[in-house]
Amino acid sequence: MKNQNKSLIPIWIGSSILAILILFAAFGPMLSPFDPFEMNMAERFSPPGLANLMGTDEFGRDVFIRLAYGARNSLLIGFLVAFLSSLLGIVIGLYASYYKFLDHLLMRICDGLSAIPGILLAIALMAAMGPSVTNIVIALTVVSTPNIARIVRSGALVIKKQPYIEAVHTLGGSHSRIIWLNMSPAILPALLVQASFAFASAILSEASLSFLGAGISEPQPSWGSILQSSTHVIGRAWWLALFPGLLLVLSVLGLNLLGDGARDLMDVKLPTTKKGGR
Amino acid sequence: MTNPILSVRNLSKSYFSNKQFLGKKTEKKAMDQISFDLYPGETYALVGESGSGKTTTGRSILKLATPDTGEIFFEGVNLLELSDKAWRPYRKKLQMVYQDPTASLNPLKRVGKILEEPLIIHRMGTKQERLGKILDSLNAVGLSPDHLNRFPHELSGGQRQRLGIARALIMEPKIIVCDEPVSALDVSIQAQILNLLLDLQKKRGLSLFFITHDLSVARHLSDRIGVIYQGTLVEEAPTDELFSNPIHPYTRNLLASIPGKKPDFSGTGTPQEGHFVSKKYW
Repeated sequence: MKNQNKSLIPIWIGSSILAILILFAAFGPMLSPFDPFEMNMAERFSPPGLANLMGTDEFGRDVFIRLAYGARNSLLIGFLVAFLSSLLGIVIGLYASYYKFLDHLLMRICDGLSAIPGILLAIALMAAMGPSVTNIVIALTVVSTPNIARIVRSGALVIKKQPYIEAVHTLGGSHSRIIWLNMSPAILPALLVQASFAFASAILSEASLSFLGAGISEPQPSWGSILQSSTHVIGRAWWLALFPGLLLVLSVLGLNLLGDGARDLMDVKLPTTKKGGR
Repeated sequence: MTNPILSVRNLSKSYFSNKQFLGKKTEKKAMDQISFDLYPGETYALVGESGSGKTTTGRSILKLATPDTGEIFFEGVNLLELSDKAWRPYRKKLQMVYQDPTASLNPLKRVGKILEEPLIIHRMGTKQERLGKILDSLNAVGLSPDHLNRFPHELSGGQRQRLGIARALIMEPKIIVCDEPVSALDVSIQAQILNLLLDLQKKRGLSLFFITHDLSVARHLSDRIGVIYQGTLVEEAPTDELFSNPIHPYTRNLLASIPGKKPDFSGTGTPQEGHFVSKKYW
């Protein structure tokens, strides 16, 4: 019992951080009287204070509200990428593990995609498709799907050899019954863990893309582009670098803690799949 | 004599090892011209050492392994010629009990779901009728309705194997292939499970195809015994005849290796009716 309490701590910390971020994204804009796009040249680079909680940027826009709107973009993109790549990943991974001819085809495509560094591939896709939130989601999904597919496949290959899967076959179960009703539930814990890491890395990739100017473009707010705008004024406007950087670190830390905690917890919960095999 | 329910004719299968550098592929015969009959209501035990091909033979009957050549007739149909789809109705009639009850039960499903799955697959009955069948088969193997909502890991090893038997029974099969069903269990539980199988067989007129390496288990359970050695069926005889009058040298060796009392080969040394001896491996 004590052991189990211990492994819950990272999950609590991780989900608290995530909850705070979601609250910040949902209600942050309502707490501030400012408009994220309204410029005020008289107030350029004013440091954090009572009026502007996190200071203002080079155009005098409030950083707090821009970060809150940026959080909406980050979380939305992160969630959609995690969700879509899990969906694609489980389909590709399960079918690749089940049918040998599909295995070669699908896994070679995944190998090809993961041979290119992720951020480079995303930039290339963004350059081809043009900047928009939808295209960022598509590009990052393409980048993260091969990873998830590979993890699903390797887990499914182990499960496929379990006698209880063969038993369903002996009972007359169809291939899709075996794949979707018997193999996929056993994959789900690993998939959820991997999805939380994909979530974190999608947030980071979106910020990188926007930082490089290939993602969300000005004047739309994004953590990455705010960080970018801080690069040449970092000496006199430290808040422009600190707050978006802190948010990025926190969100990635929170999601990774959540994923790690869930992984430890679910390994404990599934003793029979590990002991059962020969 | 009645007609056999299952006739296996000249089943052969070879496995090839990977080709070595400058070497030849080596062939390993898992089954070499295996033929036998299984009669209704009979228990046939296939006895052999590990790697002798006894499991491959059992798996071939259920299309879990594909023989290179040979024929398997069930109710007059050659099962090996059927497509996967045409085979499905026969799955109801041919069932299997696995060696390792822990690994052969889905750890994420409750007992009720495990037993309901075959009924859903073959679209048998309404939800209410299915529940009735599930309770019947739990009762038949000595489990109680309290077990319905348990997970397999909440059951003991013996109870798990009972559940495995219940799953095989629920579709009222004609033949059950038992692949070493007690070798993973504690010795104290083994007799209970064997007696349960015998009991069910008598009540339901099942044919059991029993794969084992344990001669005392085979003697306790079976009407006839086939001895398999390196993929060849070297001797086949009614149980009492085999134990008193073994002819093939491998069988004599095998019987002599049972710990305890000295074997008493008091037989005539000539095969009686229904006693088959191979000319190989003398």
